[in-house]
Amino acid sequence: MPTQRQNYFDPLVLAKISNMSLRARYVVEGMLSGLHKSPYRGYSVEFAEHREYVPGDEIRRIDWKAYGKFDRYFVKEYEEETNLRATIFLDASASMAYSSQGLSKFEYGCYLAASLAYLMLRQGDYVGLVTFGADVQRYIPPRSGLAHMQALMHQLESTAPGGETHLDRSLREIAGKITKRGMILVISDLFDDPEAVLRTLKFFRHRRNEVMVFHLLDHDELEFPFERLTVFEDIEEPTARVLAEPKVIREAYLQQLQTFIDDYRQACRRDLIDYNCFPTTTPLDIALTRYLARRQ
Amino acid sequence: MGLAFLQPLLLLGTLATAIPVLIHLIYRRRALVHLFPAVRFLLLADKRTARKFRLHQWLLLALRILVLLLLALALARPYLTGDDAQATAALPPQSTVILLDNSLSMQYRDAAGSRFQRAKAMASQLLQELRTQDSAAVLPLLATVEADQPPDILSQDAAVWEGNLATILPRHDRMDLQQAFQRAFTLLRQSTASRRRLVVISDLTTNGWEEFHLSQFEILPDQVELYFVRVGPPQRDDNVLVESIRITEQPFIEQVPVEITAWVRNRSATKRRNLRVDLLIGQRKVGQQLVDLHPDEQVAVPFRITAPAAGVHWGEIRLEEDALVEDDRFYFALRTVAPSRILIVDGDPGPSLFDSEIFYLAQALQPHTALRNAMFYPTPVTWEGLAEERLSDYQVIILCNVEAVSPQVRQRLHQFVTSGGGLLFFAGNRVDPERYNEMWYRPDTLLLPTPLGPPVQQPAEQPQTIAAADPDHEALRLLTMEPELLQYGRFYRYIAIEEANTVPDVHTLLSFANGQPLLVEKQIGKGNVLFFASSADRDWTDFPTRTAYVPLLHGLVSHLAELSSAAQRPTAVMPEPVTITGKPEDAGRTISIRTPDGHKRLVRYAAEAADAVAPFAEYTIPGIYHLTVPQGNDVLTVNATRAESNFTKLQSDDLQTRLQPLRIVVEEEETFGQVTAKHALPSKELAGMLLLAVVGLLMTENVCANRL
Repeated sequence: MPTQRQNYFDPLVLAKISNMSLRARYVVEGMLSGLHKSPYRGYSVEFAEHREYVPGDEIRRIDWKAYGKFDRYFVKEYEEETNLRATIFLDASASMAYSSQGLSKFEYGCYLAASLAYLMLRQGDYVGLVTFGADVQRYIPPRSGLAHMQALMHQLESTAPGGETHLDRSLREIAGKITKRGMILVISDLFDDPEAVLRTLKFFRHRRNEVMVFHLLDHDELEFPFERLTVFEDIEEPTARVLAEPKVIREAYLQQLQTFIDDYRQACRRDLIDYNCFPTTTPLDIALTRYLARRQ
Repeated sequence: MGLAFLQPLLLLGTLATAIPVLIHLIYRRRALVHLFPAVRFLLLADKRTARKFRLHQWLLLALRILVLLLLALALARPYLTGDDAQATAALPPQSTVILLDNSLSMQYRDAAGSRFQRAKAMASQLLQELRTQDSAAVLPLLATVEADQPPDILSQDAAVWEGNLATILPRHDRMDLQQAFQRAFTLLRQSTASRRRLVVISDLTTNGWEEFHLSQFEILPDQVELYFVRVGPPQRDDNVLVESIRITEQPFIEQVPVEITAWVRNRSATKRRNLRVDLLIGQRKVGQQLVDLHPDEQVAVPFRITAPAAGVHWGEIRLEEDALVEDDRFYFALRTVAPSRILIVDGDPGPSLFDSEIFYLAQALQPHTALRNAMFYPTPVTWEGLAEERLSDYQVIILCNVEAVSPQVRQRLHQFVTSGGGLLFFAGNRVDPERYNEMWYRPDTLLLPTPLGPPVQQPAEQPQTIAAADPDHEALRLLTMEPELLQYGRFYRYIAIEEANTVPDVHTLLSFANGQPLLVEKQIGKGNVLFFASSADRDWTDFPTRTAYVPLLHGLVSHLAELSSAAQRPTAVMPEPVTITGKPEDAGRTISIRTPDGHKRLVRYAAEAADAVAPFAEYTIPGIYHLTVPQGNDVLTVNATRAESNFTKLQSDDLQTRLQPLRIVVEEEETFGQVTAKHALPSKELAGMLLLAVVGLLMTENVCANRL
């Protein structure tokens, strides 16, 4: 039913599910069932290496022959044949912690990242994760397999937003580690110097990576619904303050914001970067649909 | 055309114009602080909108302040005085008499300046508001009405009013309200105008109003409007004054201490602390004291100074200046003389000082031997040594029981007396009346007041006592307080002076109980001669051992030495006349008087009883008046009246009671012009227009506010 479907992907409803992994699975499975298209075809696997067993690994993947030899549990790691090595850059700066509707941009970004990761891992793709603020906080190199999902989810759940946004610096820092071409997914509010960010994204494009930008904005940022005389203080830079009468400044503000979004959109289009701007109230399946459309 | 307000106190409402600013500041302080990620866009937007927004805000603020300002002005009920004048233009002619208070209290200077000058300005303003068909007169509240003075008139000529006003000067006269109101009512009764108005411009102190009541007037003018304009506040004003002074230790002998006591009073409702009181002699400050005075308290402030060198000296008690300067000063003058030199001739020198004839006399004249400063310098000499003395060195010569002198000495003594010296005889066993009469009572060298009779011996158990003393004689002034002291002396022997009552110009100062004179006096030439009918020592009487002996001798010697001139000089309090007393021979002669402000006055002595007197009252200002009298220079000190020093104010109720049955309007200085000038209520107030403007502004403000 449409209402149930709507609820199913509503980020606020998802927020009630405690486990990040579960949230991602619900989103992805629900979306895929809606698409009526099987994602499990046309993939083959090739043995890559042995790895010591850790709780959570599938029992069936234990190499019993190796157990016979070494009296220790090893699992076989397979390298799936795939065209995709995706790296998700999730903005964890302080500005992402802003929320007006109960769900912050960061939380929404986490759900999105988790859903994307789950979707890609289910398809046998390699998925890496970078969380960053002023600098790179954590880099998990791309791996495949659902077991990797645990590591990604754990990282997402344990990350708290804070610090300034330096997206270009983080992208540049990780760029050296991404040697194989693949997909770069950026989830951020992009409150950084647009020129520097776009320059770095263009660099990835130049190395024949596919780049997708999920630009997240809060409802307040998009609508500026304030009424009373307010001192607006920047979350990341407390010295930046402005006393404003919202009624007076709204129009000019929205104009500035729209210019900012339009500039990104045009620049991305020019460089064949997939740019998607979402308010945090957007159901997650729409964001995933965008991704799948890009993949096809 | 000017703007005036019917409710000026409500102008305080203009302070409400601060409310929008305060609201803005409070609102700004209470503005929400919101953490926001997209401040960068707000900053960019603010740059674009700030100027326009601030302009808008300033406009709104100005509108709101203007609304409150106009509202406060409207509540104060403004009106154009020009409208008032127009409203009264059609009224019938009016006669106005202005009584201007020119008493001393109007010289009070408060923060706004002299009240008299302000009163004049108010009178001038009232006159300027009159129309050409109105008539007016300006009269002073204090004036001396001369018999040949032209009658008061109501004039329609503004130049006449202004001229009258200009001639009114402050005066020190006693308030005569009866006379002033009588003059004003007479004028108004004569007026043919249908509207009559009497305006009294005064500080309305209670001085002079105590006895005043309108019932004292037999006829009142018809339909008279009575306005009082109070200059100064209705509350009692602060004032301290020197009420009077008292100087003791007369006569004033140079270098002898003098005590001057000033009586200072606080005429304020509050306590006065550390009031500075100065004593000045000439222009030099010789004493200063600080006193505290409770409300209405009078305090004696004593100063002890050394009498200055012989001459006439003037001084003043000066208080720290307050708003009424005139009563802060009290002028006085005194004449000082050098100590008198007395030659005491001993007619019966004994083997020892105690046995000497002059022992008691010398002791009495030098009671202050322990002190350096004395009134007298007595020089004792034996009767043989008299011929050697230069008599002109002395003011008084006392012959004690001197048997006889040579004709040359007698001649010199006569010359001494006729040229102004004093001679005092004391009787004794060496005095032979017959020989004395022959020697001293002779036409060429008359030195006895009266011929002497035979000695009279009283029985030891029935001595004579002094029964009568002339209380008016200055030589007995010291004994006037306790005349009974004289009665204690017992006289066993004396020389009868039987012809004292028959010889002309002989004055009996003391008499025995049997009527016989004891002490007689006669003026000879410019000097005086006294004869004491008993001895100076204890040979004939025990009087030298009695208390009265010393003051009697002091009085006699002071009188003979004319020390009475070494006294306080005449002091007058304006406007009371003062009498300048001269010697009998001065009658018909002129005194030239120079006032402190440089004017010259001439007065003439007139014979009165035994003296010559010259009454004087033509004072100009308080201060030192220099006199040129036949005997030389003298000083008259003139002080301001103290009758105007009380600044207790009459209240409207008191005034209304005193002015029944007329209805009065009392207008305070602060609101001057709103009542007296108001013949009818203002025909057109501006409050309505202002309220209309407020409505318009509120609508504009509403539109502007909603455009935000």
